[in-house]
Amino acid sequence: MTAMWTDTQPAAGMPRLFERGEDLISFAGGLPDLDLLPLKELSEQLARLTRLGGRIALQYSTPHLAKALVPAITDLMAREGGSAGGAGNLVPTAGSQMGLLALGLGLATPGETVLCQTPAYPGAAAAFRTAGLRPYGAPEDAEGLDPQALRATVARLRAEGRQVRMLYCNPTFQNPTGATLSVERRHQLLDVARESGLLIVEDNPYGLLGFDGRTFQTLQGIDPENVVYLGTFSKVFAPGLRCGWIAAPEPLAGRLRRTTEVMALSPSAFTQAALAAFHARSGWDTLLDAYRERYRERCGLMADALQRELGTDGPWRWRRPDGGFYLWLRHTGRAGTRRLAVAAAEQGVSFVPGGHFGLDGECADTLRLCFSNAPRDRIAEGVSRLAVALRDAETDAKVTAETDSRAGAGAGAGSYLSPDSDADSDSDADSGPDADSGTGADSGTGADSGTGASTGTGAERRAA
Amino acid sequence: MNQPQFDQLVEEICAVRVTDSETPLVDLGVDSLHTVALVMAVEDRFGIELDPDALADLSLTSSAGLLRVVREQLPGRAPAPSGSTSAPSGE
Repeated sequence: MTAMWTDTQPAAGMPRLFERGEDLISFAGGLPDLDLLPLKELSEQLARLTRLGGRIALQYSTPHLAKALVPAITDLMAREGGSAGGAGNLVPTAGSQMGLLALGLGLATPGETVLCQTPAYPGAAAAFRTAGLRPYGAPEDAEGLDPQALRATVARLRAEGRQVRMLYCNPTFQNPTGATLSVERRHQLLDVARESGLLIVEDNPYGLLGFDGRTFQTLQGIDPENVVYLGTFSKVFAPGLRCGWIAAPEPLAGRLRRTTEVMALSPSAFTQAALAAFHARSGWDTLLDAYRERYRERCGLMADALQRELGTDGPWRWRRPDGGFYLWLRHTGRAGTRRLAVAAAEQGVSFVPGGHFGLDGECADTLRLCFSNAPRDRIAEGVSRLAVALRDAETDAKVTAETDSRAGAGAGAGSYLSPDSDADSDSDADSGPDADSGTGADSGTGADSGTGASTGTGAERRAA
Repeated sequence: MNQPQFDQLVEEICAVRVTDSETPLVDLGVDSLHTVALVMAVEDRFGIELDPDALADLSLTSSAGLLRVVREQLPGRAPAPSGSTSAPSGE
């Protein structure tokens, strides 16, 4: 198995994503702010669902999307110009993480290369690797995914004998950068994908969370026959219900359904019915507007504080996103952020070091800040603490030094992003064209990383 | 609410065409979970609480059968309109 977020690692290696204890101000985990959920209304609906339909909703079901939930999904997808199609196009998931693994297992064959927009959501890379696939960075320029270069990359990889059939991307308010691919680029990307025989995987958890309500035409809406779309209720409703969906052309949906049946037997009918009932009664407008406004405010507070603390002419660079959960900082002097995460933890603030979003440890001079779940009155304090830690970057914490120290950590130590086997497998040590060769196969392995459970996992993989 | 109005509600919530009010919903293509969603919406719309036991076999419920159960629960319990059966139904 490939480690992702929750492996036991020291604070340096693993930003404690979902912990919020003590005096720690967390800018790490991408959690929605559930203070906005109408809990009283929800509890009444859940009670009603249990009383009237508990014997059905709590029973096993089949790996099909509940028809009752189709209108809720159709509504969400239409807001970004997408088309849910019918129940035949939809596959229920327990969130997009399951969807990613399902499509890695169900639509690709082990050994195949899957192109990924980078920096990438680590859960995607981990899911693909767990399915035996080889993530490879898709070419990018200043505007994001570069369709023309993509054509050449695909040709080159195939000439090398690789099978390349899928491209994974998160085109709107991306995790971790917050960037959005222009609509013009989307059309170009889809054209090249068609020409090159690439299936596009569009992961879109944040598309409806534009701060001013603006949306962007989804890739799925432009070319529904060549896009597999991952949708989720985690960010527009709540992640604890573990409910999402895949929208795919029917033949692919059938294959995905067979895969999800093996993975989970059936989705939660209860969860689907709860969401269907919520939508039927309240629609999405009110909650979406509330989330958008909340995140707009939080992002503004964080960006303003960053500007105050770090200035705009210093070594740290970032852009204010127009939506989503994240701010992405890059150090122009190539300071390694893994070490800074330790300093930040000592100050009582957490973030995710950017290396976690590189396919092979690149992006080590970046970091992700999540503003979505930070308490309003703690953001300025958190950023002040962060600034104390980041200013230390001016001293000697350079990426190269950090890489050198990590090189001595020993291959096979627990890695959180890359499969452990990467350390001794040339074939898997794929770096995209922009990969930083200085941060190679030892990605994600902190110098101080203990030899935890994942070492054993690595051994298993190698033995397999 | 009369039967045609209720049929319309069923059509709206279940995304089906109610060709005959007495046809079991399952035969109209409404699955059991969708029937649950319908009954939840009906409770909400009428401000009533239905007896789950009266709906024991949801898959056999028809639009007319469901409306009869609803009328049983309505305050003041208006007599059923002529031409329809007045007995509560567990359809």
